[in-house]
Amino acid sequence: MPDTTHVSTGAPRDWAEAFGALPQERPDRDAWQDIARRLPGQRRSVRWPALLAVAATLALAIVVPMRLLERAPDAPATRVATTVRSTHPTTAATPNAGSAQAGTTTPASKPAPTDPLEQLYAQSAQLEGVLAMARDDRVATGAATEVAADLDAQLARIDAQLRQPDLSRDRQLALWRARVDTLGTLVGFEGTRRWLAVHGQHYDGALVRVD
Amino acid sequence: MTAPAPTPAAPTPARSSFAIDVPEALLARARGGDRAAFEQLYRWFERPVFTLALRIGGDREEARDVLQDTMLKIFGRIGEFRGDNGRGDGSPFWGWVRQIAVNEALMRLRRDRRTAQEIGVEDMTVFVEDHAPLPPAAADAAILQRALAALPATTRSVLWLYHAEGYTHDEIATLMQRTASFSKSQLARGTKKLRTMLEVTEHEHA
Repeated sequence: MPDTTHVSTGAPRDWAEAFGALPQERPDRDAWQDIARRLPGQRRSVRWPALLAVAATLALAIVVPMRLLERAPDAPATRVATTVRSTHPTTAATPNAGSAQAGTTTPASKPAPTDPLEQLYAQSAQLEGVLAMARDDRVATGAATEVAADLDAQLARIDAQLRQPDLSRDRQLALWRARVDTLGTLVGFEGTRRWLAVHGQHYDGALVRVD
Repeated sequence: MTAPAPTPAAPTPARSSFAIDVPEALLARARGGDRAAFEQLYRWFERPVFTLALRIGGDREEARDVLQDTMLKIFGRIGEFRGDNGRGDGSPFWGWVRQIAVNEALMRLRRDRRTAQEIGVEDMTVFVEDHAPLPPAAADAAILQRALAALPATTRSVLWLYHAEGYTHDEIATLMQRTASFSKSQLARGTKKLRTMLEVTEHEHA
């Protein structure tokens, strides 16, 4: 009696099916940052009123988290706050010291930080706030969710690296830049996704056959 | 009277991982130089381009370079893309992307003579189509990937372009600057070698 135990019902029928079932690969290090650096000078498209509306929303969203950060800098609401504390216990606690001593009801405008690392912390926090407002899972679709999940995973990898002890300053700067860039990408992605949804389009590219 | 030979099942049409419909609105933004649109296009085609480059060249760092160069060419020339005109009778954007990616990957392969190896074929007129059932090990992604990686790069490229991307022998010949006979012979010998490797693996694990 022939041994049929090796015959799996899930076995590919031919080579095309076997190759097609192989998982897709991605680079070990994200290549976008390198590509973006080599892009010729970009001009941003501002032709669409809807994009202007999105930009206005995002600008508003940047201001709100900034104010919140000034008033309640210890609130551990965002991922960035956690990460900052783990790598920079001293800088994480500094922003509220001055404003608490001022004792005024109207918050004084704070000078912009000059330390590049501090600037990156601030940008990261702002973008986290924007992202929270821009993200809307109600308009999520398959491919878009996958792209967003990839970016989230990328962010998680950066955060994991930021939690490593004894990071050099240069390494911290590189990681925080990567974090800000990734967050910027996510914000742009979510904004566009919403824009497309409003216009009856979506990110899901329908797979088509090559005959 | 002998029974008629069983006809092989119709082969599965290749289903390219590049086959993604890109919204015209996104392409319009990219043509306008919108950086965010570029990045979204990158995210969509990152895996297909990298996977193709990895299958052809067999090296992850090289594949990353191919990915970068491909994307920069796409962004630099996106204004030239006039394929899909909205009526469905033009070339899709993904086909254009794939063409650039394949050219980039094969160009690197030709440049690096150390890896641009192929299975030696004495008689390029003998082509045996392989319609036999696949070894069960072909269903194991890790084993199949290892076997593919063990093939000479040029041979592997022919197999991948033919089976995974659905190119014809004539198209492969043009892409690789060789003849259709070369493509057919590499496919036949490469498939045979791949099958042998998978069967050996199967026996080792039995």
